[in-house]
Amino acid sequence: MSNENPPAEKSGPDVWSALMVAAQAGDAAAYRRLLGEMTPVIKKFLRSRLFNADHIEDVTQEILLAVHDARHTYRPEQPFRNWMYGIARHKMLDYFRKQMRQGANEINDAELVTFLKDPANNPEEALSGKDLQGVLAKLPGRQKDILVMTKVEGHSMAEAAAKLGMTEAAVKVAAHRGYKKLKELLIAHGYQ
Amino acid sequence: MDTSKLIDSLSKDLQPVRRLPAPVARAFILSLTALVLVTGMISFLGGPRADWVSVLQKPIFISGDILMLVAGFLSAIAAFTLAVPDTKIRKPVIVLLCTATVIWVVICLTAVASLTAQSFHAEVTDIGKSAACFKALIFMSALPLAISFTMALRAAPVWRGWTGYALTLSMASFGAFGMRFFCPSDSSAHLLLWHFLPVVILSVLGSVLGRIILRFRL
Repeated sequence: MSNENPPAEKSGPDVWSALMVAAQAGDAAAYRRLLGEMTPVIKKFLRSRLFNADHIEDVTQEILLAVHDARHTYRPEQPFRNWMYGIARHKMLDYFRKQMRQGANEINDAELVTFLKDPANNPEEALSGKDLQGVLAKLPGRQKDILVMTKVEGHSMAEAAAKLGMTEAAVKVAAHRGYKKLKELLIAHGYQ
Repeated sequence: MDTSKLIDSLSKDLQPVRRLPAPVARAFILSLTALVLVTGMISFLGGPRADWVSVLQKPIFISGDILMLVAGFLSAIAAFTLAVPDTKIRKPVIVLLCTATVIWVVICLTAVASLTAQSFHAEVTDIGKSAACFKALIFMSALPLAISFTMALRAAPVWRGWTGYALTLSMASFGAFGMRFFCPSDSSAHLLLWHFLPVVILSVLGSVLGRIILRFRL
């Protein structure tokens, strides 16, 4: 029951509402224009709440995917901005929840990156590229592919999902399992 | 993936979608379905109570049942309105949910007002027999509830806990309505313990269920 104060849209809510109605009827050009105009507004909305540019990009893409997935629920009698910001707010809260969960877990991206990259902490036990390759090779195929794509090659979850022909949710689950498995394997190799 | 590429891939080969009907229409369809299922389950469980025609003459019975139907329908509308993304829970939905909840509070308080220590004691000491009504209520509500969650998943609920609460309150209300035609007992203690309070408890559990089940949608 929060009060949002979202930024104003470029074309105005009526235009966006009409574009969405056209998109619901299958008008690809209207849909492309709508998503294109929505994107900077969503980013502006996120920028005041998130600080990491990569995360803003990821959450923006997740919001666009959710808008796509939920486009049949929009009704023209509802203000478009309420509908859109409803989804944006929901996805942003989801992001915060995930961050909190990761914070509570032993595994999180920041720790993992620090662990992998910072030899100053323990020079003798710093992970070599060869070790990492060996450990990664022991991961199940999909988990390995996802970790390499998202953590080494720098792709977003949405992109990894598109490349692997999986849903984004499935990629996230597999990535999380991959992190856990990777940690177990690293500990088994003597890294603490 | 670059966001512009994502936009291209989403808009490429865009298929037309069938817009969801209005929440009131969806609530009407669900309520009708729930009533048909509850009627079917009463038949399956052995038919309605023997005196169901005569109890229909009693104003207290009729008014209680109408209130349950109203609570069920109002909370179904609230649930399907909540299942469409929005930035906040708006006043009409709050009014609908509060009305449905207050109806159940009134129903429970009415039963409490006519409660006697003797009848309460009898219900508590014979739990095995009386709890059959609780099981029957769950049986009557379960399938409509599963259908209602499926319908909510067709939308995109962002207020998952409240949607779960509203759906469960709605389906349990229809279940309790059916129970009044199935169970021959009109004892206040029995109704309170095994018909009415379970609706309230199930609704609270429904909010937890909503948080778990409905998160897989968006």
